[in-house]
Amino acid sequence: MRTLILLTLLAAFNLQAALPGDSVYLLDSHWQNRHDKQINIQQLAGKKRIVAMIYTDCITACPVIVSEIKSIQAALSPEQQQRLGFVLVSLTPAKDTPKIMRYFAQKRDLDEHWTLLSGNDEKVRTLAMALNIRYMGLADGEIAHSNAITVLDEQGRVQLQQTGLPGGPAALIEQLGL
Amino acid sequence: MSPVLLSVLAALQMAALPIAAGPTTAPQMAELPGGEVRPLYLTKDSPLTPVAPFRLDMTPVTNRQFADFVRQHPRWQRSQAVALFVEPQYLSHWQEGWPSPEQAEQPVTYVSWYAASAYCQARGKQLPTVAQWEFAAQASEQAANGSTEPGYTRRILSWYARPSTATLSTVGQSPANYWKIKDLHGLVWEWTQDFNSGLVTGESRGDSTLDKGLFCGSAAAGSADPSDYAAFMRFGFRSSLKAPYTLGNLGFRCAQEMADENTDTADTAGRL
Repeated sequence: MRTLILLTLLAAFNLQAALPGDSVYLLDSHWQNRHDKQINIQQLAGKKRIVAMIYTDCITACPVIVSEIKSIQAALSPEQQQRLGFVLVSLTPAKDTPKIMRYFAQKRDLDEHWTLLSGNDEKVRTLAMALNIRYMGLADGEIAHSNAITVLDEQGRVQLQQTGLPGGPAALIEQLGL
Repeated sequence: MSPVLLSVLAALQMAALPIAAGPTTAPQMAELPGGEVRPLYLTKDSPLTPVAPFRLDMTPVTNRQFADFVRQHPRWQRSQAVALFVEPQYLSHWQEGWPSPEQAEQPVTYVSWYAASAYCQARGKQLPTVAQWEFAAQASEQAANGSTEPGYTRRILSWYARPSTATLSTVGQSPANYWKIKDLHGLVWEWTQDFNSGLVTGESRGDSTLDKGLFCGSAAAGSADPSDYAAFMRFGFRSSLKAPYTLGNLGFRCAQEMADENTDTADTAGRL
C-alpha cells in the first residue's frame, strides 16, 4: 500500500528525474487522447500498462490485438484492473483524430481503462524505436507492423513483449504479477 | 569554396529555419530533385517509392560537429545520456569526453539513432529516410542512377568486404557523386530515420519466408531486384539494428525537406 501511495505521488509530479534510465517514459513526448486532451507519456507512469501500436482503419491484425487485450481485461479482478492500464497508440496519427478514436473506442467498447493516443509521425517513429516495433507504410494505405503487445512496468520499463497470447490471458496475467 | 559564398549559404539556411540553426560548422547540403526509388523488399509489381525534393548533407557529420552539439546539449554527453537512448559504448572512442585532433574531421561513430536524430533536429533537419538515402546513393559520379553501370555494385561490395578495423579516413575524401554528395559508400554505414521499417524477424533462419503472423498486412515478400546485393546488405544491416545501438562503423548525415510543410517539429527539437 505504501508503494502505491508513493507511486501515485510520483505520478502526480514530473518524475523525469526519478525514472530509471531505460524507461520508455523518458521520451517525454506529448500526445492527444480521445478526449482531445494533451497527455505527456510520463503521465502513464504509476501503473503497469499494456501497450500496442495500431491504427483504427486496420482490418487485419489490429482487431486481433485489441480483442486479445480485451480478453486480458475480462480476466482481471476489479482490484487488478486498478493496477493495469491499456494503451493503444495510433500508427496513422494524421487520420486518427480524437473524434475517430472516440468512434473506435465506442465501437470496440473500450472503457476508461483504455488510453488511446495519437501524435505525429516523428513521435510515433520514436516510440516505435523505444518499443522495438517495426512498421512500414504500404502502397495500398495499409501499414505493415509488428503484431506485438508490450507490457511496461510502473516506471515505463519494458517488462515483457510477445506476439499474441500463446498461453491465454491467464498466463500473461500471472507473468505480470498483478 | 569562397568564404563569401559560404556565409551567403549560411544566411540562406538561417532564413529558411525558424529554429536556431546552430554554429556554422554544419555540413553543406546538396539539393536533390527527388524522384523514385524501387523498394527492395516488395513484390515485383510494387509501385516505386516516390521521393520528394530534399536536401542532404554533402558529407557525414564529423566528430567535431557532433562535439559542438554535445557542448550545446549536455544531456547528450557520454556521462549523461541515459540507457534508453544509448548503449554503454556511446562516444567511447573520445578520450576524456572529447574527440582528439586526429578524430575531429573523421565521421562521428558510436552514436545511437536517438543521438543522431537529436543532432539533426537541433539543426532543423531530420535523418534521411531510407528512400531518400537510397535515392542519393544510387547516383554514380556521372549519373543520377548509376546502379546499372559496370563496376558500381562491385565497388560498393568491395568496401563491404573490407574489415572495418582500420582507422577511419576524414570525411570528403571520396569523389563526389552526381549530386555532389560524398562518402555515401566507402566510409561508414549511416543511420536512417525509418531503418526499422524492414519487416523481417531479425532472426536469420526465419527470414527466408516472412512470418505472416508477426505482421499486420504482410504484403512484403520477395525482392524487386535480387541482383542488387549491395542493397540487400544494407537492408540486412538496417534490419539488425536497434535504436540505442552504437557501433564503430556507423555514423549519419542529416536531410531536410525542401517544402517546409512539417511545422510540428519545433516542440520536439532538442527534447531528445
